[in-house]
Amino acid sequence: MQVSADVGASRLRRPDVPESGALTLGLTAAGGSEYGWLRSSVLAVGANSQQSTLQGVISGAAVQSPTRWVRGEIGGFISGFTESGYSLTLSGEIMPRLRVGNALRGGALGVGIGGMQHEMKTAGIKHAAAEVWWGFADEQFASSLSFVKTTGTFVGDQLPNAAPSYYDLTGAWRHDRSGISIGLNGAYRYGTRSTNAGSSGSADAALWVFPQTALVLSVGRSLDDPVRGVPRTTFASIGLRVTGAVHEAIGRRRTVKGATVSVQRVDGSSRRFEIRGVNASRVEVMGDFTGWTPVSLERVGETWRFEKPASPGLHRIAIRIDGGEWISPANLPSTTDDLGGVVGLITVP
Amino acid sequence: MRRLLSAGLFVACVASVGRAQDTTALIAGDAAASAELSKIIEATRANGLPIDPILAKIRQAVLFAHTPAPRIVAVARAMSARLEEARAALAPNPTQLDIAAGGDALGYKVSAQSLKDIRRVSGNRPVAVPLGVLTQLVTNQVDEKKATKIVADLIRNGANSDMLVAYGNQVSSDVQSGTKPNNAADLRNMGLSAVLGVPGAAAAANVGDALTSAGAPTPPPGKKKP
Repeated sequence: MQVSADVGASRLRRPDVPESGALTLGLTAAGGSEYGWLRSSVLAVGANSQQSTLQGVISGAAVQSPTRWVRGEIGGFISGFTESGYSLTLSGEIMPRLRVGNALRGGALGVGIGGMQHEMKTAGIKHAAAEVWWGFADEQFASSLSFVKTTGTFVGDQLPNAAPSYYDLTGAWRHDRSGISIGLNGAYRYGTRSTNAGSSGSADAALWVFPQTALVLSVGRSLDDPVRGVPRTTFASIGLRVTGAVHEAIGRRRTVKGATVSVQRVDGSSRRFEIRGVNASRVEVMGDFTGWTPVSLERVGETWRFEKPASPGLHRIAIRIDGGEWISPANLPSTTDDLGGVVGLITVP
Repeated sequence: MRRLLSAGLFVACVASVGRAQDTTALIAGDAAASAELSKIIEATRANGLPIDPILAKIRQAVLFAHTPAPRIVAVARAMSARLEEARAALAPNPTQLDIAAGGDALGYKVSAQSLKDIRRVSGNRPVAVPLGVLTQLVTNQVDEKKATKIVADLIRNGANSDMLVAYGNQVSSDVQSGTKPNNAADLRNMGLSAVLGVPGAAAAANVGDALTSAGAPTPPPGKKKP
């Protein structure tokens, strides 16, 4: 279970309300396993002494056969939104999805139904969505195309009995490294009926100043959310995020001093070993994969490298710089095992 | 000069082991130790176990660590025993690479139970890389139970070999730079699990669950008054 809290101040602008400042307080709890996940969020916004809002969302999914490449899952959410002097707007949706790939790279296709309720009035929701996601190293990308059709809405400029339907095309990018997380989101809405078309977008940045505390900045513009009853707005905010667990970014911030080695798959059984952080005229390596005979590395810019077939699994490695002593690379665990002689341990993919 | 001499003697001995039961000197100047090593290698091979890990150990001992002959024999014998234990733990159909990885893992104080756990979660897939990463974690002083659970969970969540290797090497790097081992394992696991286990951007896009995800506030009311 991961828990976090956001406290901050915002500047908000909406079509029907003068630009105003607001205090925000958000709480999020999330947890899960390979068979599903559950996330709940609550956000309170106080714009001035007369106006405040409260919104809560519970979302989750159950996954079938998590280790399979193609699998089914069923997800959904329940949302509540209220404001000073007005009734609660409740909405919910359930969506079975067919999912391909893993969480790093894949896609999903789903069709869902749901409903909304506000002051004894109800409306239905039909929703179809396709999405893809792709991640590598510290970058994550996602895109989705969805179609929503409702039998009514309680937000926006439409007539009270309007039944909007629209397409949303979204794209997102996130970079997360060295204690800094940066994200961009963009969306375009094409309305087929009773819906304001337009674009929206946001940018955010989180700087982890302590292991469990981040400074969070965000700016953007959102469109009406006819499903949840949330109006469009333009916002800029600054806040502090406090988490229950230490953020991984702190671990990444520190760097290893000295020669570091990495290995990556080239093709077939061939692997490329690279050594960095070395200011030398000659670098050699020896290990299981060289039959414990020294091999000189080729210099490519600031990197020393060589390619050689190596079996997947754990290997012992030692390096020598400018003919000095054989040493263990600085970024690997070193061991004398049962033979004596210090070597580093590296796992080859 | 000493290394060249050792290398020459070692190559000769390996060739002899490969073609016959000849007890040519495996270790320079120590015929008894060489003969003992040949017996161990032949017995290991006859038992259907991989001999490459033992030969690699001998190479490392002779060419790199300059280990005393009696110690080399003891290490080779222990390695052979560990290979047998690894094969049993990784049953029913471990590959030669799996067994070698299991033998390595046992040599670095990973328990047979952990090997069984990794085998169970991996099904019939190769386990050399997961065991390598597990060994790396344990060698980094990560608690063995925690390390085994993390690796098993990552496998369940679809982590591939490249991701596991990156995880193990990142934890190593963190530990070498001063992060506490268990913390490093947890932190890196959170990062990879966030990518693997959380429906992430996909789910957020699907259900619009961006309530507090970037600190972006949900705005005050603007909906139509009843």
